[in-house]
Amino acid sequence: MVYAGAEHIISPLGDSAEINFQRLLEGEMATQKHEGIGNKGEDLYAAVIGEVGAFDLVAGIEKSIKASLALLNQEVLATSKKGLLLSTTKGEIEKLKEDAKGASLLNFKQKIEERFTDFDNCELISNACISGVLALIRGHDLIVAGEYETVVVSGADMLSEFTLAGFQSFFAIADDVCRPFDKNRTGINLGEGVGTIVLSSNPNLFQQKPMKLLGGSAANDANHISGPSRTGEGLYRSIHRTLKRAEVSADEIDFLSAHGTGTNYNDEMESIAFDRIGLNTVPMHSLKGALGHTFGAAGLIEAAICLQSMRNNVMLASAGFLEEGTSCSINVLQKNQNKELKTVLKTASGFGGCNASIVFRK
Amino acid sequence: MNLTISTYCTIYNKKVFLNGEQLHEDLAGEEDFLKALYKKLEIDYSKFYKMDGISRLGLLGVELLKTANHGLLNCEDDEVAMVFQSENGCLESDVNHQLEVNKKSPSPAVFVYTLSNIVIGEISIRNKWYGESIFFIDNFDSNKNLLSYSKSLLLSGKAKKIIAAKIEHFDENVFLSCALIDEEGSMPLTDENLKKVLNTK
Repeated sequence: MVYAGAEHIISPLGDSAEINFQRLLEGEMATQKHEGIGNKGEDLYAAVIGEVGAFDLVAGIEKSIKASLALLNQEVLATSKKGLLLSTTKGEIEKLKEDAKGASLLNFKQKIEERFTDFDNCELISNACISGVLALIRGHDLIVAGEYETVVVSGADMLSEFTLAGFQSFFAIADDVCRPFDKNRTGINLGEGVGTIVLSSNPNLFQQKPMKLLGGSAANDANHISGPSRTGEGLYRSIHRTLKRAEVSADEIDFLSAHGTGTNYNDEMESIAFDRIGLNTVPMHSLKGALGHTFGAAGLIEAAICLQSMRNNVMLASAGFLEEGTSCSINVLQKNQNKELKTVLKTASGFGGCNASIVFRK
Repeated sequence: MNLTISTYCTIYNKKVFLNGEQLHEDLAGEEDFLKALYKKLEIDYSKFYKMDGISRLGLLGVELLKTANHGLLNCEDDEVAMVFQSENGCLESDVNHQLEVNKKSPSPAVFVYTLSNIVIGEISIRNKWYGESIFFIDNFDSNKNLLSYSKSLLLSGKAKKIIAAKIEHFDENVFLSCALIDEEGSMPLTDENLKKVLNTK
């Protein structure tokens, strides 16, 4: 069995999973209007820590990993064979303005590795917006294969002119706060942050009672590199395989943490996939309205919130959602709700047609 | 489970090797080598011309594997997994996008290639493969992730065939080595054999 816990989040709302969960529970929004941050000086909504392009990603990851490690039983950690798994889409992409090699992901990985020399190995996964969920799947599978007792999974991305301008060129940025799954959604808000989760086969590693990670699966749409599948094929297959492998049926899912970017086609695709798998009535949310899209960090931040929800038996509202706006009916939460959460599904989808899903159990 | 490397291919320095044998030597003088190889392989797939360098390179590598291994053509659509590794990933497209951002005229056609896993997406679309895939960033010399994830996917039944690849397309560094890992071949899947197949320049 693989256990998951010691979750940590850095976002504009604060530095810890508890603080972030509490602020989200109170309806706080990290997404705010920022003057002149667009490629042509436009005002845009985004979730920024300080100034655009100033978030020190290496320091952020170091801080988040250390904070997660501090939530473990140190004597158990000391004897545990452990690996480090990083996920990011663009790493320190701001450095590209100075020189290409400085922005290379291999450089970024080496900088983190140097700060955590007591780990047996370090891997970096860069797989678009599913990087974080995929890293959790990889971490789970590494432990099941017996390669490590413990894997620390940390994902991070920064908000930069590079990604802002790119998504502007796609006309994919929302006019205001993004509204995942809402009828009047107009696109995404970009964000930045770090999320860390510790996985281990040893439940005694955790100071607080851990949840179980039952595993996951990834699947490709085989359809288009930037346009989501019209049938939700990859996401459907990913969830189907994840549930089958975990021996969990769709009606056992108490809560679903969706990807929900706020773009018309993505959210429509997700609703179709959820409908096909029979998850229409399962309460669900997207955190992109409150936290923005944090790319390589998103899967970890959102999974960390899943763990917080399971600990507190509270499902968070889907910020920005007012009116149903997908062709398949789904149960998007407009208000926070109390519910005993035993089984929780987390999904992600990204450019390149990639999709991934994982399932947690209490 | 008896895991093997059943087919392997290398493209570098305007040379193509399939299962260790050099092919298409007549293309060595071509300025745009990948375009010349695309034509030589008689692939009718016009999307190729829209792709960035790393996607073109990966796509051609898989086409070459298919010519030598018909098992890849006849498998179920979710049986093939792709496990890719690179030092630089999509850095070439990153540089191109940044130049356009600096000129205040970013283009979606360039930006969409600024994610390292897009090459896997292009191969998936071309072959209608819906299987597992992952993109690692690591040192060229290391095969640790490729070997361990390939084994894990096969042993857990998540995939029946793996295309494990090392890919670089940045500046002068154009290199692809890929190996089809399944139960059908004769070369056992070992550290040493994988090194021989993937790390030889």
